[in-house]
Amino acid sequence: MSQRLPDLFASLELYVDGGWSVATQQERNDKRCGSTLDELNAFYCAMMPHIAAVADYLNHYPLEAIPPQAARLLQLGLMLMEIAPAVEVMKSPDIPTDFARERLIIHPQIQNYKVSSVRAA
Amino acid sequence: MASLPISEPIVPDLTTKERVNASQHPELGTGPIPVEFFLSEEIFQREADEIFGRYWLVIGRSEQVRNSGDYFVYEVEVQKTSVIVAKGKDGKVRAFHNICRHRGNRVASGAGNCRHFVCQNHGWAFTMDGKLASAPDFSQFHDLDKATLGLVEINCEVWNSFIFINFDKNPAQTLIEQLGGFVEQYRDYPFESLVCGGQWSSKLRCNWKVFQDIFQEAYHVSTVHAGTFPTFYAGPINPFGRPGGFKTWGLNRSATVVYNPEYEATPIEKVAAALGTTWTDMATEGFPGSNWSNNKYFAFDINGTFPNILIDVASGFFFTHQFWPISVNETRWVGSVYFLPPRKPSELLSQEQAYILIRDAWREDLSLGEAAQLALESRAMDHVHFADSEIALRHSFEAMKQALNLDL
Repeated sequence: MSQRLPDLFASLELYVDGGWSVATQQERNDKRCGSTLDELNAFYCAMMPHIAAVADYLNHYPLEAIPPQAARLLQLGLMLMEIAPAVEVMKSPDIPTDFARERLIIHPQIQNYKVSSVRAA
Repeated sequence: MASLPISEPIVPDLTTKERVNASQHPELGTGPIPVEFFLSEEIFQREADEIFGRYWLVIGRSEQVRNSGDYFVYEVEVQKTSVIVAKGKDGKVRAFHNICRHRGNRVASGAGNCRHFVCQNHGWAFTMDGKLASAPDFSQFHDLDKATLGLVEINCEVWNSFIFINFDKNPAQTLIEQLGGFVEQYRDYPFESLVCGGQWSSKLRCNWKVFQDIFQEAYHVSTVHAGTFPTFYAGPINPFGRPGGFKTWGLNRSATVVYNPEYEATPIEKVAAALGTTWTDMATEGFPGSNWSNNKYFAFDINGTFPNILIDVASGFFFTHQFWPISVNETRWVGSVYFLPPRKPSELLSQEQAYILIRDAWREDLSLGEAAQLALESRAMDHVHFADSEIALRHSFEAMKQALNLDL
């Protein structure tokens, strides 16, 4: 199996396997609400100690050309932002409300970055 | 223009028993509000015709049509109209009815960039400034002049990167007249430099004004937002989320939301704040025009821009809530958040933290409108009551009453 994340973050490969590195906010929200609180806690505890290093690593690349391995890492970081409120404040995967999640339409975000086809060094 | 000496930021007394806003705005009254305002089919029809048919409405942002040939289509249900907004070769932004002059089919959908709008029915082609460029087999039409068959234009003006339209062929006021003091206040706020990084919408079974009212006060925050940010806007100096200031500009209004200086950021907020501007940033310096009330603990101003949009301006970002009426008890809400474009990948992370925080908070708000609507429809109550902290709701009511000359 080829390595999907930069060497420095090899310990997070299992989260790529587990479907935590996805491209859109809709997919990330689906993953959050389709996970148990235990699963979210595990992801949160695995990512938080690395997040400052993740940000530093990503900043070696310009927004217009992020290599694929770094892009997957970025998506793990975005997933952390998606699930953190559930773990820190809500203590449940989804917001406790009777307003169905599907009724809140997430509009596609403008893609603020480009994934380059060049493999990272 | 000489700037005023910078005075010490204020910390208003937000626990006083005085009803401060009413005493400063006696013209807004203090009585109960009849529920008919939200339920009447007749009032709704008059709003559709006389408000949405005659006032300047925000339909989009110049960032959506940056380059010549850029366009987008926006459905305005309350006027039964599909609107095309397009930037012509001359750089001008125009709006048109999305109607082919042949037999009425649509000429555009979605958004994109093109040289011509081509009707998918018979291939009539229109330029981006609305002229009929070509129509196949045109010799077979009787005494028609192509020059008179351009797309029907809608009045369209851009102010500080907000695109407004007016369905009235001869609007009673210019856009600047309608916006009034809002223009002076935010003339230098860099709306043009901020871009939409998050947008969400929902179709709700409630009157558009019922839902708009939820976002014009912070009284609800500590109750409704228990799962997201219960203590950011309410704390010891302002336990009930009262506004830190309130003013009106004609039919428009501005209410200041202040933050709790004793707020403790969550771990993820601390991470995000180290990487870039976030929602709970307690920045002391803001873009020009922000914090007109000079509050020490300024969070954002709710700018109710008549009739149906809140342009909420914080120090380093802004957001909007727009409420599009569909019927007397159906509304499409669109919430959008604007930040400076990220300059590096770590800012993608810090901004995402803000988008998720506020999206979750707005999800908490979404059930409120429908619940209130059903309750009002039971007619168990004849009136609703607005507290002094809900002065913006009161002005909303008075403004509509005035605009429609309502006897309520």
